[in-house]
Amino acid sequence: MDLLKLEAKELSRRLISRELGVSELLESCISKLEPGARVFYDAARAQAKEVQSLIDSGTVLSPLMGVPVGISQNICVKGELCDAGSDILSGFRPPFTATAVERMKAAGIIIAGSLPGDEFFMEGVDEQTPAAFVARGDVPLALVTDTGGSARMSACWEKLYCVRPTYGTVSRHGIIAYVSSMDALSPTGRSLGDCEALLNIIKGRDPLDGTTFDCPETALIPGEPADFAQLSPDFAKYLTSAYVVLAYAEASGNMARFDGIKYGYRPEEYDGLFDLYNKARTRGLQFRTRLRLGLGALFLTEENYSRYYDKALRVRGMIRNKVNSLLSEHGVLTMPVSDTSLATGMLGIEQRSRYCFVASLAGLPSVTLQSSDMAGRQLVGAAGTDTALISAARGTGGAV
Amino acid sequence: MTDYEVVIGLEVHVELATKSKLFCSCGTNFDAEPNDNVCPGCAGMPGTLPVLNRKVAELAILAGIVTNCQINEFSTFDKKNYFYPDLSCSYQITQFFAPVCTQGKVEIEVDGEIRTIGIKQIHIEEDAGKLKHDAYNSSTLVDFNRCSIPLLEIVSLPDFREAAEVVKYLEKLQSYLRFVGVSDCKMQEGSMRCDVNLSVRKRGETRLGTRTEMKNMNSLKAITRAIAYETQRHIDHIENGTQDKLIQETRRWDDAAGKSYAMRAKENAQDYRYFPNPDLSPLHISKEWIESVKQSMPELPGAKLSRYMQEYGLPEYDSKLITSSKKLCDIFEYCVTKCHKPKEVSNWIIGDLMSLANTAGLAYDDIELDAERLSRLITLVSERGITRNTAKKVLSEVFENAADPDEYIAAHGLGMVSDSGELESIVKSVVENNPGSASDYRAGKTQALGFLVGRVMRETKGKADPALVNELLLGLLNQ
Repeated sequence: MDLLKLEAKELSRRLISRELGVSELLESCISKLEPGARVFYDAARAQAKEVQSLIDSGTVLSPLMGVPVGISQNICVKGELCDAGSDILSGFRPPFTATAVERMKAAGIIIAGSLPGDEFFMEGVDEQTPAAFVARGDVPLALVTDTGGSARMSACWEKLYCVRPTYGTVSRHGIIAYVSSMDALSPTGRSLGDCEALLNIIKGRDPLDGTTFDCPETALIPGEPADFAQLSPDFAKYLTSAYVVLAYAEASGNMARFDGIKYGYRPEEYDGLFDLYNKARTRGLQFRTRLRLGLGALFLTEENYSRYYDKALRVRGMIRNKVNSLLSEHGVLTMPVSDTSLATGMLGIEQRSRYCFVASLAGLPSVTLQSSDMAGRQLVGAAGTDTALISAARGTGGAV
Repeated sequence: MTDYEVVIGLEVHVELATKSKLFCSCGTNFDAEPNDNVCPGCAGMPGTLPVLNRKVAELAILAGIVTNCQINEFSTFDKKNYFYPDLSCSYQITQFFAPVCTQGKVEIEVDGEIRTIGIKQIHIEEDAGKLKHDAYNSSTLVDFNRCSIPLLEIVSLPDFREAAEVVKYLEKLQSYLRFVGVSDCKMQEGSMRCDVNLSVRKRGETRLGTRTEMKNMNSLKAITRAIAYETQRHIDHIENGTQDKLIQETRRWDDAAGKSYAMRAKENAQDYRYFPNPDLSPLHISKEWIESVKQSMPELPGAKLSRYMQEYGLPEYDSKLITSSKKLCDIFEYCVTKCHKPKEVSNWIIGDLMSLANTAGLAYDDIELDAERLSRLITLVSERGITRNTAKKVLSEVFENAADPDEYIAAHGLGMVSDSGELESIVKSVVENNPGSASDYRAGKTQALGFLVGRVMRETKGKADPALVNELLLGLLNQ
């Protein structure tokens, strides 16, 4: 049978009971990852040996000890190539490791390698997504960034689970930022239990990310789950506009540092400073990204600030209030993961993801369920209800 | 000139005296090799996040207190976006929407009259790196050491009407910020920078004239000259009817040339696309925090002045001079603790140390003197080890060459001849060799004693204790 299609927790159980060797499992994972992923050969193999000796000495670090896990290619690991799928970061090897990865290593998880996606993991609709690697059984579990729903949507399409945590509960240190106020590291796996176990390992305040805090576990308010339709009629329209303005504007700030000066791609020939900027960014960034950054910069000009950015901030506040007041009565808000009715196109992805923007804009936890249709289903709860929400999802049988 | 009124507002940047940078734990020392004080964070690597240095907030609170500002419970950190290679993230983190302090005032004394300068706001921001143009390789190098060094920008209202007010205000800011340890405020080294916004209008006119902003003045003298030059330039345009040529722009002061030059006009000003930085939560300053900063705040010059007069019985004149400089206060207080003679210490500082600094053209705050050495010197004098004149010479060595008083005295044989046996024989031989003077004295010409004392001092190369010489001579002559 295909070991890597087992749940990660089951694999860890077998590793801890020494029915299976850590290196043996890692090697089978490596051979499957090789074509498309970047395997961290040396580091992962060394780690496997260490973890095996800990197991041999009877040490148990976590319910995921010894399991190889993949991370999306926008998560920094010291010395490993990390380009977030962008030419502008070609050759970038960060000299530091993301806090979440440090915590995974401390829990005995083997960081097998990094999994590719679209540029800066904005959309989650590339042919290769981290979720696709999990679904194929190349790796049992993955840690992926979710900003406007990319991780949730790709998990849903691959019939996997994805848990997006409450904003601020998982450190963003070491994540190549797309939208700082919405980026959230989201475990993507074969079972809710695996996602929960990984989340428990990576969550908690981090001194290297000032927006993190130790969030007390909160129970769900009992009640009949509310539906997306119970939000106001104009809600969907505003949701997309607010997301687009805030996401692109923040991205334009975060990605301005890619200037061809310090790291990554630099054109061989250029005529002065501004030509260097121009060539580095035009060649290094894909058109779709440049479009987003250009629009984002435009939303922030002195003339446009109050018309777009400030208005979007206020809409975000209204959305947060509206969703929280609904949650205070109903406990859970259910909605599709993607809107399959809307047209695709240049910015079509933003329209298809609009349901996902609720959790992203409000900073709330969301759990996707396994679904037989493309639209999928997700549960959104109040801040801090992550664990309770996973239990609620389990109560539904984890599927729709 | 008297027909016109000049209106000036100041933007003062001070570099904060913190050990680490604003948003990372890198050091801030001035003497580091290029890119030594750099980490992935201040080098602008993706994946890094700014984390506020709480010490900076504390210094901002102190700056707010000494400028009588309202210290805001919540202030935000915002991004100011522009591309330049010295800016590692391509944005500067500043406080644009909600600064930490607002609505302050500073009182200054000009021509014996108290005037009040309003403070619009104080905000925290980070410095940028430095570019070094390497002409030999026709390349430009970037040094990120200064990236994310913490600064405070203190923005005044346009309340100044003459350069003298500007100078008094800057001196007061310097003094107070040094006293509470916010910054060392050295204009020459760039830890205090001042941009002057200036416009000129006919007296009685209520509307403001066209405003220009001047940068790059690195001393109070340069600021005074720049204001005089720029004021005259504005007046000339008004008088010649060429106001249309007087445009709102940023100008660079060239102190060597004594002129200001246009840098960039308002219409070429960049759109900085300010927006709140989501990586930094708003800075929350509670009443309790402000209170605890107040409690532990170092003593201000005013309080020191009255304490020196009451506690140490120092004259007002002495107290005022010493409290004009934090460095003098530090030296004074250290020496008083060691020597317990406030007036004696004050005499050394006012009479000797300050004149040494004046001769060297050094600001009192820039005096680099180990207070322990001055206190040792004072002790040596009061314990009659050496004469005051010798001590003065030693002090100038301590001041100029950081000499150790004891070592210097020993090395140069300046120690007093205090062995009365040795001195006695010298006195005896002087009296014997100058019988005329001895008999003159005995005949009642007391001034002859002075001559004999001088002889003894010459024999001992000035190392004899004059009081002891007197005593021995009188003993011998009155035999």
